[in-house]
Amino acid sequence: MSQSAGSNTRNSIIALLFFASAWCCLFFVCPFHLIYKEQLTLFLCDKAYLTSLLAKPAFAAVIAGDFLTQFFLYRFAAATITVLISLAVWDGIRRLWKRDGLHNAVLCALIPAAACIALSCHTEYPLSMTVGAAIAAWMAYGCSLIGNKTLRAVATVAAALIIYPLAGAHSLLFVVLTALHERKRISAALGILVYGVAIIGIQGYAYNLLWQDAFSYPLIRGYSYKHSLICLIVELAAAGAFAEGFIGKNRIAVSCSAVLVAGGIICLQFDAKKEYDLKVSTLAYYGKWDKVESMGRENRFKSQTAAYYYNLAMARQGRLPDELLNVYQPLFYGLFLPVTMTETYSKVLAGADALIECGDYGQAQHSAMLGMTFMPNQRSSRAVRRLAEIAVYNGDTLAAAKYLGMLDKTLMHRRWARQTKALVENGTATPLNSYRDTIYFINDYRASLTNILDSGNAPAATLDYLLCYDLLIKNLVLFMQDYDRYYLPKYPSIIPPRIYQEALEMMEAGPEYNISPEVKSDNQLFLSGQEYKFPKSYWYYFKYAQPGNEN
Amino acid sequence: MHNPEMKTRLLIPLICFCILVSCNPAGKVGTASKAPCIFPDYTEITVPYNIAPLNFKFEGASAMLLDIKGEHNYRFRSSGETMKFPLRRWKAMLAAEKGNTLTLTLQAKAEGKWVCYPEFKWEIRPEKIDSYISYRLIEPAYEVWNVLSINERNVETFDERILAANSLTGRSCMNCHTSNRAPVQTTFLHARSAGGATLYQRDGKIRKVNTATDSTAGAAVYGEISQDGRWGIFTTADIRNGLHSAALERFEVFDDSSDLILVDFENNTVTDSPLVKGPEFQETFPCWSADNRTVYFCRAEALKQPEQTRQMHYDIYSISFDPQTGELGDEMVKIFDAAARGKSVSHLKCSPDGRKLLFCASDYGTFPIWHIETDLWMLDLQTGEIDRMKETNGEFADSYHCWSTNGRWICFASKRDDRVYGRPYFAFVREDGTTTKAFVLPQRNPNFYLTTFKSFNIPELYDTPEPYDARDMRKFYFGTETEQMTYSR
Repeated sequence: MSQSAGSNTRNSIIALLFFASAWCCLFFVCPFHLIYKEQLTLFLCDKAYLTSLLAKPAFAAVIAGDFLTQFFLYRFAAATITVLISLAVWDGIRRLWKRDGLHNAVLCALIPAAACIALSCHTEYPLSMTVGAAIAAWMAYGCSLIGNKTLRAVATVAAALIIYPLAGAHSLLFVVLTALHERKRISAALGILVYGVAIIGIQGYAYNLLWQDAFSYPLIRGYSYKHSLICLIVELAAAGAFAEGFIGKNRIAVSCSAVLVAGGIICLQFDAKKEYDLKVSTLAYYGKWDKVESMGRENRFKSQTAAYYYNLAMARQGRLPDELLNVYQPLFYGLFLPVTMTETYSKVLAGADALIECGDYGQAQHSAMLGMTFMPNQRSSRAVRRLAEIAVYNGDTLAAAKYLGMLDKTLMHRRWARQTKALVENGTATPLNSYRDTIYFINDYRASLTNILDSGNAPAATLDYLLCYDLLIKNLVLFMQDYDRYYLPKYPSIIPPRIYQEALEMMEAGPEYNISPEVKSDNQLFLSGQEYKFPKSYWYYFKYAQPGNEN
Repeated sequence: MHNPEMKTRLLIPLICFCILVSCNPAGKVGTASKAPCIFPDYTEITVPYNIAPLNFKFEGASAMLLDIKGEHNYRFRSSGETMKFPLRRWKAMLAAEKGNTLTLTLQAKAEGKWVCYPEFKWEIRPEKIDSYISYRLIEPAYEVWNVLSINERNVETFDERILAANSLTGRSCMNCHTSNRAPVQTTFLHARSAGGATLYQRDGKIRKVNTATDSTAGAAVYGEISQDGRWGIFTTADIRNGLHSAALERFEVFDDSSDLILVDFENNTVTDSPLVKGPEFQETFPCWSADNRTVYFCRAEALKQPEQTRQMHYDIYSISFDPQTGELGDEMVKIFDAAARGKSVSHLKCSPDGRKLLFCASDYGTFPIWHIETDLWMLDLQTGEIDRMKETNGEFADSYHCWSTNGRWICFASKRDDRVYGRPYFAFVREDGTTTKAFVLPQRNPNFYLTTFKSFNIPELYDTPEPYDARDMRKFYFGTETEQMTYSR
């Protein structure tokens, strides 16, 4: 007895260590993958909204998962909630397998839980999937508690019927676990498998889902997870772990399997550059511009998003032209994130930020709306906040009321919504958009920015963005046009930023442009073959920068 | 008293009493001078006797009491801010009060106090509205889409089903579900992208046809099918779009070119006429007259766009049609000079009795839903008089309208509530042709409109449910061979 108790304690310690390590991994390695999930959801504490979820499969998992995802706004909560739900999966399976007499049930159950945690390291793997797995594990355990075979069979049949509307795709975990539980009665086990899979297919059909979608919902197929059966990894892990519990009785082997499963899945799907992008984007969203600046300056992944937000941080300080070529620039894609069919929704949404800074609320609204439309569930707290802001800037009080009304029904954005609403109501938030109306094509930044500048009330960043855009697309004729039209009349006597001087010198501009003698002599040196001395000059960029992979 | 059964027996009446008391004004009731601010605005409206319960919410109320006086008296209670009418009682009430005007008095409890609001009226019309409405649910995401569906809703209940879902058809675009509202109903919808075509349904049989030919500018876009289901009159257009820079403008959709085509669904041919094609003018939004012997359409001189989009003013023209020969006439007549009024018209719909033409009037251009100034106007085809429908139009973008089969109701998409998301509104057409204040399609929970990001696009009334659903549509989309139309001179 005491030996068994000691073994159990050791197993429990290993399990606890595993979950602690998982927590550390989520907290330190991929926190922004989790945090971004909050931005991909908009959970409303509203009866009409909740009722609309009842009409879809996995309503219990989605309601619970999306409710908890709200707290992912906080890094600590994101890691903790993910681990706790995975712990619930583990505990349900552990109890079930303990009843099954599985060796090292405590450790074996870690393997499917490890799969849950590892899959959670993807932005598009919703927490509701893990909640669904927990529901499945506990329902399987619940059924196993019924001693009478007939009653248990009836309960299993009934549970298989109701679990899909409750838990979605991971109801397959219930099927796998109950079939394994009945393994000694092979016909019963096979019956459960066939019946369970058929029920999922039939119910998916009734919900107007394709079979691939039925076996993956609430994970939305067709996004980053191209493979429709990705969620079956948990089920496969469970089946494998169960087998290993009987075959490999070695504690170390089982523990290593759990670590290997988690590590393997993470290695396969984790994208460090994406984590970096999500981090810089989220920091900008939270207004932590000092951190954005330091990340953008370093830009160790040569990330377009980091360059974009660095430029935005500089523009906010009026330093965009001074710093433009001191950091990595992916051509003009570091200034604006265009809306194209191949662009990701996260970049499209992020694209609204620079446009807002430039006062281009029309395109910003377009980016925010499209960013949200192309998200897996077409709902996003971040996009709705952006849309509300833009509506306020546009003086579009009705649209603002719609978005703020929705945010008012959330837990985490309620305060912001009420503050913004108060600003609108007491007249503190005045409309900024009073531009002359013009029609321009999407991604035609010049048309939009020149129109804003012509209006006479352009934000400070607009002119710098326009001139830097001209420079980065290497169109010096347009640069001179815009410089003469907007910059020179505004700053006739000051010495312009060095990058502008360098471009002006290339265009052999006259003395009224205030080009410093130093720039003139440097240009001579550059032209005389000493290019290496000016790697961060516009001359160098103009001569050598080539379109590459902007991503 | 220790008997648990006895406890239950006492407890149940006590709970019932408490609920009743909490939903009834006890003691002093205050009086409000203004009409209750309910959502949706269902005050002073005219509704058909067969409409679903007009559930509404009164924000901040913890209980409500609604007294309705007509030929009989009715009382409805709510224990929260949403007034939900039980379907059976609602149906019985409307059936009993058909043709009457109901007077409603709302008392609401807020912050512990009951307040009685000034009464308002509902006119219950005996003229039926068509039992079904279809609409496309889509994010108002400018020129692109992700997930969309065309749904069919029973307007007498809250039942809704999906007719077509692009999640089942490879995320393709689907639009323009339109009915001819004939005794033998014919409907169509366009499914775009690879494998797409026009899905034509008549008498339960669905065909998939490709209306694009080498001799015409492209596939059919906006249009209508004749009462006998044989003829279709459509636009073909090279559609482009751009953004507006001004605060409340959003998006502009314009045609680089547009012509009309006539489709013969019996012989699978497409034809046109030199009068309604060519680069000098743009022709669009055609519709049939009630007898199908005239085609009304919008026409404007083709200008360079987007530079001159603001100068694009579409007028209304008509051209005769001979259903025997299948030929358009050789003369067209301008029947409404919108440009002279500084307006541009779109989306023509002729009333079932052939006397009225309902259309959108915008300041310029050809895409009304993004023009906030768009209103519905009614043209009397006999007198040429225009009704600006001030009672019906809202502040922002009323468009994409249709008539009910009996011509006594119109339905349209309106952005009056939040300027962005279209919702289906109905209005009654009086004997004299004037229209009443519009009311929005009722929902089981009125908050639905406040929590959805979907816009109701192209609402279409009809009286016979479609014989297919989303699964059938998938089969037609992928499994049916497309009938290729040929051009016929």
